[in-house]
Amino acid sequence: MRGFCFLVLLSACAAQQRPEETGEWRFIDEIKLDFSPMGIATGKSGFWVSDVGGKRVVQIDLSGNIVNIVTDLDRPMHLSKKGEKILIPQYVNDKAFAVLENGKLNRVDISELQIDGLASLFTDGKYTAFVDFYHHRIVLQSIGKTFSIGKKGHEEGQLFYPTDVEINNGLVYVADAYNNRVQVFDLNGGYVSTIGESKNIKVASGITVNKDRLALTDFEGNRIHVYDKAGSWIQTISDGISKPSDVLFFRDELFILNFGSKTILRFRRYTGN
Amino acid sequence: MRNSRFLFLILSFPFFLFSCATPPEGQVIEKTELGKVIYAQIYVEGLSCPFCAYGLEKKLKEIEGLLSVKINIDEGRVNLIFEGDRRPAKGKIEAAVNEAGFSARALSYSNTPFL
Repeated sequence: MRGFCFLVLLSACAAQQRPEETGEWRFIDEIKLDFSPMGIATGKSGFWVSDVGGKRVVQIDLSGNIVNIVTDLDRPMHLSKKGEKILIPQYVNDKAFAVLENGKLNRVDISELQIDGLASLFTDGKYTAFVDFYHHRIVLQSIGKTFSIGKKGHEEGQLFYPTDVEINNGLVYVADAYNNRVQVFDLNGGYVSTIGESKNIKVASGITVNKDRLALTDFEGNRIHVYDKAGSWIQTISDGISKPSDVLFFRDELFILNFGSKTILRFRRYTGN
Repeated sequence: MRNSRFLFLILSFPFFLFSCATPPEGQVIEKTELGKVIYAQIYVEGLSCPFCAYGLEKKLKEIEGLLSVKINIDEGRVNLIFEGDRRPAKGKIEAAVNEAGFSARALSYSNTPFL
């Protein structure tokens, strides 16, 4: 009888667990900030986070302490890295993006691309993808070749206010924000697949991709959705999520930027060990 | 001694004028200029994400004569300051808002800052 009561108590406790604690990704820490974070990238000695409201990028440690600040940026959005360089799109400056290396800020002229609202850029070393928010397209650039992916619309292969991009293993993953989904293209611009349409997403603003997973922010839905690379749903994280703007896989962790609550949440992948 | 005091007064006068032109609290003036200005206020619905709000800012900044734009995302209120004493055309403001993907409503002008 005593054993039965113990089992009942144990199952009751298990039922009260938060969803993320039973999923693949489990909450480990919260980093508090004094600004609303927009984008994140890893640097040589910590994390760089964009403060779009403050027109700056900020280097923080894992306690949220500010280590370094770079100002005078034109509304920096989703960050990315190339080696030790941090690439900074300037949303209200269509002529140049910024590159931060060893504390020094340089600007790269992109006026010939005729972008209107650079929301994100990403490079894998061979290809560079630029998110052109107001032209509803991705500009893909490699040596001697520049072309557009997508056009305004809601059908397969069309985009509606895209906000983020990553290139991974020969595929281009696009946060097709106001179509509320991720679209995947090949490096020739050919449509490959759509991810996330069944989750009733409200503004798919940020993505991160690693070798076998894709995580996606649901900005207005206050959720993060994790999928495998084939597009099969793995987990939805909602506790503690407040207008998430961006996500980042880093080693075995998932960093979630809460634009609404000015925090960064850290989740670790649970492998059963 | 008297000359140097006079020189100090002359040199500090422009700084005094500049400090008088300090914008109201919370108002970010991108370009400070003495002289007449016109204040405008509009309301825009659906301004929830940073891409929307700063996109609207981007489009509004393309209007000639705009000195400042301040967006209150929660209230959907946009406060603008234009240089000069002539009201900017309503159509120009509405077109910029439309280009950002929104519709403007309740556009009003004032010679003094909106409270």
